[in-house]
This record gives sequence, structure tokens and C-alpha cells, in this order.
Amino acid sequence: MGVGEAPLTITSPPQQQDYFEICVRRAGNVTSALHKLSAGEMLGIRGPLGRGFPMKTFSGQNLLIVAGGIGLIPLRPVIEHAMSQRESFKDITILYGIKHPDERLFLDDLAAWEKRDDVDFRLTVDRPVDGWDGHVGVITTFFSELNIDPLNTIAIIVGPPIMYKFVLLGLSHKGFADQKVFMSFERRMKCGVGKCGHCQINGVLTCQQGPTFSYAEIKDLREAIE
Amino acid sequence: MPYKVLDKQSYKSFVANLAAGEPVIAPVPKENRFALSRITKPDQLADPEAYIPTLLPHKKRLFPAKENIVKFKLGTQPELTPQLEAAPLVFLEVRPCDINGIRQLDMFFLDDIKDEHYARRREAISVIGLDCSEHCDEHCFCESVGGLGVDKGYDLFFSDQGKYYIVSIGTQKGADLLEKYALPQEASEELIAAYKRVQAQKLSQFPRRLKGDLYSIPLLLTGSYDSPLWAELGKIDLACGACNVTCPTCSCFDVLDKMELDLVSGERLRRWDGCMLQDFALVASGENFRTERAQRVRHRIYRKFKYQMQKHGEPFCVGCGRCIRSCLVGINPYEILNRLFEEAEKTNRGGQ
Repeated sequence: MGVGEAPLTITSPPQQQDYFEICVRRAGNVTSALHKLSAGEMLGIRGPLGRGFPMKTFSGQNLLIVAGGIGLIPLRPVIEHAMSQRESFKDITILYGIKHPDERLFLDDLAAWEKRDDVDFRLTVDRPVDGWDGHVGVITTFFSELNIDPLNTIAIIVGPPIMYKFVLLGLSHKGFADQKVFMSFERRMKCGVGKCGHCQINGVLTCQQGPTFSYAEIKDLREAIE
Repeated sequence: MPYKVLDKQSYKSFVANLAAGEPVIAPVPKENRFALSRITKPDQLADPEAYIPTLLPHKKRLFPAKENIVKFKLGTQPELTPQLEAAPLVFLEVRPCDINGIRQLDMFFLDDIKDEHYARRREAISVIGLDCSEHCDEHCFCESVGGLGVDKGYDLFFSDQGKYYIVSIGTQKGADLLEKYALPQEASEELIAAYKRVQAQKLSQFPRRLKGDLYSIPLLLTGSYDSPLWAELGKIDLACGACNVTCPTCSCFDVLDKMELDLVSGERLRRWDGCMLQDFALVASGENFRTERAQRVRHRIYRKFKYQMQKHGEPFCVGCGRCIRSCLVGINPYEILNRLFEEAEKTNRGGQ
């Protein structure tokens, strides 16, 4: 209170009941003020607003999780939830793309995912960097080497708008049906209750009807991906 | 619907009594235009012959340009006090377009997610309408968007029938006001029949017609997303937001916190925002989802004539012409729709 509100996402999984985590990039007034807070200080939270990914409907499927940059923040609970109910899902593939190795988030989690042999975790940085011996190239460069059964796989993608364009193209080449692809959208949200008008994607109010959508739901909305 | 009759002299004393007994907001002359203002005497009212829609619509009283929604006090036990007080008001001489504008704001703010701040204020307001018999000026197009006749959205509605007014009573609240401040006569069957005849013929005195069916507009717009018109309008558009401000149904807002100098107490405000402004869809990452003026002009037309229309069953435009009067470069929704109807006709796609 006193600075304003910003729409944020919960980054801890639902089975973690005692507390929840949020991960915030310092970008504007509100998030800068959040970064200045120290432990024990108070802040106000209004929500939850909108809807999350319909995880229950994904059970029995393979999961292909595609995270670009801070898109990993809303996907971390998806990944942790899937890991905690590992038997509910078939193959789990996680692709994580960042511009620079310094941008890696949740290093402990990344290490843990890498170690597991029941999860295929792959990390890439966009351009070569000194001292980086991992994969280099945009996230879609993984697509050619992936052996995926599009009929039995749910793709969940979160990243910057430019990534959606290319990942969606890649998925469509792989044979994914629109209703098997899920994504989350960032839009300006001021009220969170469908009144202020800022988060509209054509006729859809992201704060109320989203922010997660299947591609089938938004592919006719020209403002969603363009 | 019950009707009563007031002669012209009795209407004057009704207004005088009403303005003495209630806080009345009505159109008054302001320089060479008209504005909504508190009145205390009937002679302050705008001359109905000269009247054109007020600079700002009634929206400014229902949904103020800047509104304190929560007062707060920070500390170990923060205090939040929602600001929900609303003073009673009577809107007098509200024209059909503005009755529809208020009704559409009601539809928007009081839908499945009710806006309490709006709801409280709206409950305290009475709407007393006054009929029009011809266009205010060359900019109105109320008849084209179904905004000419009103059968709901008012508490009382006065229609000038020469020597007298026919009063249509919309609600009990309206009946009580009339009872309290006037001595109305019963309307005879003949008078009611004559009034209904005039109403039925009214459309013929309002000559502006869209070049296609009103209810086909959402379909027309579906096919017009890539029309060259948007780029043309984007080139002349000034992105000033005057249309947003003056529109009776534009209701987008921004929310911001304001601290007092003590850095302990403060308030959360909401204030009008406009989809025509540059940073309306800008997010913290720097991504702007409507950078181009053309995109914003299109969004505004689509929101009124497609998105809201598909949700609420009528266009969220009442044809008052305020956006046209306030637009420095002549952007005109009536002409936009007709141009799109023409384009659709030429390419033989949807809309008809």
C-alpha cells in the first residue's frame, strides 16, 4: 500500500501449503519498492485473480514445458507439481531458454531437475558466452532433436511475446493441435476485476478470463500473438 | 407504463420545487456550449431549442474523473477504509442518448462483477429525462445506433407535446418525486394514443441511417480488421483521448496510490484513463501491445461495436456525437461504420 499494485504470479507449487513464494523482477515503481523491502516488512496482497493452468486435465499425458526467461516463474509451480505427482504424467520435457547464463533462476531447482532421470531438462542460452559450454541457440533449436508424440502431449509455454510466435510455429510443425498448447499472457492489469480495460486482448479480459489460455481459445484474437 | 400530464406552467413549478428540495444536476449554458451543473431555479436550464449535448456526459457524476476508493493507514495494524459514501442527486432533462449512456454504464459496472463504488452512487441518483424532437446538430447520430427511443433507464421521462408534457413514469422513485413536487393530471386515453403516435413517427424526423444493419456490425468488424481505413485514421489521429473523456460509455481507468506527507496515511485513487493514449497497454517489461495509433483507433471502435455489443446485446455508443465535436481531426464513428459497410459491399463480404 502506498506505492501501488502490480500483477504477480505465485511461483511455489500448491502442495507447499505453509507459505507461498513470489519471484519479482525489478521493473517499475511497485516492483522496485518490493525489492527494497527487508524480511519482516509488510505488504498487501489481493487475489488470487484469474485462473491457472488446468493441471488436472493434463494427467495421463506427456508434458512439454517451454520457459523463456522469467517465464520460468509461473512454470516452476507447474513443474514442481508435476514432479510431486510424477506418476500422473508420462514423459516430462522441460526446455528453458535465456539470453545469458546469469539470468538463470532457481539454481537449486535447475540442478535438481537436471539430476532426475525421469525428466528431460534442457537449458539453452541465445548466443555464445565465454565460459558457457552448454547448448547455444534460441529455444526452438531444441525442437528438431525432440521426439514428441503430439497426440499425447500437452505443451505449456510461457515467455516473451516474440518467443510465442516461434514456439507456436515449431509446435504446429510438430503436429500439435491448438487445444493441446497452453500459454500465459502478460498484459497491463490495474483492477484485476475486469473493469479498468487495460488487459484486454481484443474482446478478452486477461485478468478474469486468463491469464492462462489454450492456443485454441486465443488463436483468433489478433492482439494475442501478433 | 403509467402516464401523467403536466402543462408547461406546471412543469416550471415542478422544476422550481424539485430544485429547491433536491440537489438537481441539469444542462446549463456554458460559454457557447452546455455543461451539467447544479441548478436552483428553472431559468438556469438550457434552452431546449438551442441545446446540444453537454461537454461532458453524466458519467462524471456517476464515475468521477478522480475517485478515492480506499483510504489507508500503514503500520503494524494497517487500516483500510473503503470509500463508499454517495450523496443523493437528481439528473434533470437527461436526453434519450444520455439515458442510454447511463443505462449502459449500469450494464457494465453492475454486471456479474459489481462495482460497489459505482453501485452506491447510482442508487442515490434519480434520472428525469426529456425527449428530443429533432437532431441537436449535424454531429448526432442517435437514431443510427438505436439510441433514439427510450423505454427504460429513467425514473421519469418528459415529452413535450405542445401545450403540455406527457410524463412517462419509469419507477416508483420517479412516481414519488412527481407526487412530491408537482400536481400532475391523469393522462387521457387520447393523449396517450397521440403520444405513442408521435413516438412511432419520431424516427422519420431523424434522417441519419447506417448503410447496413446495426446488428450486423460485429460481423462487419470481424471482416474489417485489416481494412486500410485504420491506417488512414492512425495517420491523422492525435492520440489525445478527448473522445474517451467525452464518451458517455468510455469507462476505463487507472489505479494509483497517493501517500500523505506523513508517509503513514494515504489513499488509493482511480482516475479516468483512455485507450487512445500511447501507454494504455504498456507493461513493465517495456512491451506495448498497442503501439500504433491505428491499433488504438480500431480497438476503440471494436470495443464499442463488437466486444461490448456481443456481451451486452447493443452497441456501447449512443450516437450523442460528443467524440466528433471534441475531435480536432474529425474522426467520426458514424462515418467509420458507413465506410466499412461500403468496403464490405464492394468486396461482397459480411455485414449485410
